[in-house]
Amino acid sequence: MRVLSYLVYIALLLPIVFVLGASLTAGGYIRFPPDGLSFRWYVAMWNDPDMMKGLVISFNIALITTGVSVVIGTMAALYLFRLNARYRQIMASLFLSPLSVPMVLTGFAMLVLFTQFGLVNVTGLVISHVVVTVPYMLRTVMTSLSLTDPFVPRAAAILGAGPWRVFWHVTMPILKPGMLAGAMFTFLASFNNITISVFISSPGASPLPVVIFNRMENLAEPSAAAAATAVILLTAVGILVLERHFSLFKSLLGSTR
Amino acid sequence: MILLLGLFFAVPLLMAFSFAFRPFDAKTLVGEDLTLQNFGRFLFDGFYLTAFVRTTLISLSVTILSVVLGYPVAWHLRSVQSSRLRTWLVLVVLMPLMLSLVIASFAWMIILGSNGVLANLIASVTLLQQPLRLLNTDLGIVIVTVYSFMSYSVLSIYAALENIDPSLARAASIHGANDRQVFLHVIWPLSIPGVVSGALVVFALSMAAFVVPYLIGGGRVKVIPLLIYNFTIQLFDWPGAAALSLLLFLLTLVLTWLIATLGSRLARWEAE
Repeated sequence: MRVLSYLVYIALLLPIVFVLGASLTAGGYIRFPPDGLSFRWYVAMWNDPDMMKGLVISFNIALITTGVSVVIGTMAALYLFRLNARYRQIMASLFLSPLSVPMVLTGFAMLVLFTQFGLVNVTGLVISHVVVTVPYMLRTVMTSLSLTDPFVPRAAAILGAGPWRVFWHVTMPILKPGMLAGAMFTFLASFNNITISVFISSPGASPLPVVIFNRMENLAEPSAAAAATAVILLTAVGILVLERHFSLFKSLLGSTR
Repeated sequence: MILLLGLFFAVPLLMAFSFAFRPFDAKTLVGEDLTLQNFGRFLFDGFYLTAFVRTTLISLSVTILSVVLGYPVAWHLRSVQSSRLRTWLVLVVLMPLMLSLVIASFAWMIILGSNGVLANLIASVTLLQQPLRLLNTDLGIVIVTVYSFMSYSVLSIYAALENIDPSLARAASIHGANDRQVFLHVIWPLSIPGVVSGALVVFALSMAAFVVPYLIGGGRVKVIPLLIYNFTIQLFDWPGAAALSLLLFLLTLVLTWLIATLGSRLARWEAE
């Protein structure tokens, strides 16, 4: 049991080791173990306008998507929480429905809609990312809500706090872990999204995963590995910082319940 | 929220589905008439039927492997005492969710490649004359898809195991059950709902995956989501893509319903 588990952990880490290794090669093409060590492909990536532009676009989209998702997801969760049990069940499954539709289908449907309205651009990407990430946001916030006593905000109100005061000083702290976990998940899901993005990105507005995807048809040069490594490292640092400050995983594990 | 989902989720889906009933037109791409011939194109063609079967078989293998490998991991995660170590291991388990599918596939292309490490390793262990081909094969796709979606099954099984009251296991062992019996008659039956819900997520995701088949399969392994992608992006045959999507969606619904029913049957049968 233990041995098998550790084998799985190793297999899960394997790709990172390989991407890292391949990105450091001094040779002309992807190789593991690498042909000597060098940072030349990081320099190549830095000087590659498409990749750098893709990185900036990805980052912006992920940031806006997260902001919008946090607001909408939290509002929806608060709304659901006030409904009685039966309506809550129905509305919740309605709100979570984007999770049960195959992503290819969502991507294709978005393309159909957005070509009609000229939204095959960054705006369209943000809208579609919000649609597919809001359910996760909703779920993590709902978990935070369900873990606490629903009467606490009411108690504060009875004790004389105004509605805004109740919201900022009582409800928000309750929701914070769920909002943070959801926000992190949303950011990563948007930043890394390929399934939807590949349908609605145009040559001028391609997020990084799409740029890498398009280059991989003819097995990419190592600068794609360099970009991948950069993304992995940024992600890992971000997560570790968040984990240190907010013990994120506790809320994330809670979210599956 | 309702507005958002209505405007940007329900409307596009309905529009996409409506395309399924329109003919393909070489000039305007989507014709005006209503027709059912899109479905005929796919349902009476052996090529597409094989693709549907292949998609289902790949997804089923992915699902089974994710559960079979995910269960021990979830079990191990739960038994780890140090909370620090557990945090790190959870981070490892969540790794595939934090990596872009593109990047993960890219890494696996290096691993599975014909001169890749894994192929050579397998060849030297099994004494095969030729290194096993993994890239561009169904097996390669299964391996990478398991990698990318296994986190869901681990998390779901872990949550189910956590929710089992530990005093039940203790009660069983006090009454003389050994570890194996406790697992088989107490833990396993109670964890079935978690196993099933994890399996459902993995299955649904695998049925819709086209990035991994595209990159790992090199476009040679035809699965339905990949064909939808090709129809949309390369052939501009949107009615065809819409019809295929609708068929895939219905097939996924039926199969997930079937898995869920079988799961609850199993849970009830185990409980007796």
